[in-house]
Amino acid sequence: MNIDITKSIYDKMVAQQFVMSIMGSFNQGLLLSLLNITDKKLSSLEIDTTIKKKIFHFMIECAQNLSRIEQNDAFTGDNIFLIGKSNNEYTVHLGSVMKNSERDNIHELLSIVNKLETEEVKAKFYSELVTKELANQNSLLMSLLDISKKTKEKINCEWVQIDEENTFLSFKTTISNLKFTDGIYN
Amino acid sequence: MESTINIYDIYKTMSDNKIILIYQGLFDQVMIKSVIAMTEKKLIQENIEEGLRRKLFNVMVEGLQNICKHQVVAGENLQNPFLMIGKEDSSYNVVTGNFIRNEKIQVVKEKIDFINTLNKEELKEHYKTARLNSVISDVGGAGLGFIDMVRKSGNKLEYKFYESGVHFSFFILHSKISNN
Repeated sequence: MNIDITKSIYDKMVAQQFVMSIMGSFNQGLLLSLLNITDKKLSSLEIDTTIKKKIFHFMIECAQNLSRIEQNDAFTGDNIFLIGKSNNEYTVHLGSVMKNSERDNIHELLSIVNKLETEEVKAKFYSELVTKELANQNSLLMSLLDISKKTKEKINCEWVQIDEENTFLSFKTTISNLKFTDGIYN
Repeated sequence: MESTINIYDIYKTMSDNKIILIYQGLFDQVMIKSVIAMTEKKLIQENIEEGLRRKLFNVMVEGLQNICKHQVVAGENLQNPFLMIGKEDSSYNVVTGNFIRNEKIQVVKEKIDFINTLNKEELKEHYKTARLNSVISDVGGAGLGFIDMVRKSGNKLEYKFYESGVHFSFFILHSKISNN
């Protein structure tokens, strides 16, 4: 890697308004450090605690999703986590390469979750929790429901087919840093 | 305004260039501690042999301390410093980048160029002399950072200054850490 390549990567980061980025397999240890560093970074940016909590929930759920997929042997590469900033909004991205065979299953679960309204998401989450034993729960579905429940948004997901075997899947959420006081966002 | 990030493009860039970590932002002691802890986990995960890991760590700490002491606080047109760790065959690259005032460029250049001319023994001697004669600067450095980086990495430092306006340049420092 020569210096000019490094500079061009840095320029790309600046152009796309990166706050931070890391690539790797997100096991518990690394995730803990990642949360720790994100916490410090977000504190230095004076982000509201509620927003910070939202970012953390999103990170944890997505990272757990990706590590579940990893355990399924469908995982073929590293995960990437990055936070970008645009005006008063933070965009959190988590992405991973996986086998194309996983795509249909995830796509189906995503469309189930994204069809639901906020209250329905909650209801579905708790009904799955109450009516099914842990072993019979679809952990990926539960996780997607949890993301949707905590971010109060439809899950934003992008697919890029890399080749005949692999697809790149990424989750994204946009969180505004506006502070909520007296019923008004300031 | 919608975020302009194309995550797959970034993933591909990082993957193609075998970058395992990028951090961009202001560096203070607390942040350095977190970056180090995260890097340590990342390196253990990569199954890097302990000796190489220790070398990489030492160089990274020196690089981070350099940034911490000499970073120019980002103004309207200045971006934050960064740390990048990349893999290249059996070696690792620690790359740091930060803005520097143009009047400091010459001194930094001379220091690195001189250190790069020294062999292992000369470097050891120079380190001893520099340590004995060192004066702690107003930012808390004793001028030993570059010497330490070359000693610990076993390789010469590469660097480049990119002009950025009348007063500042962007300084990229590249240190290669190999297993020999």
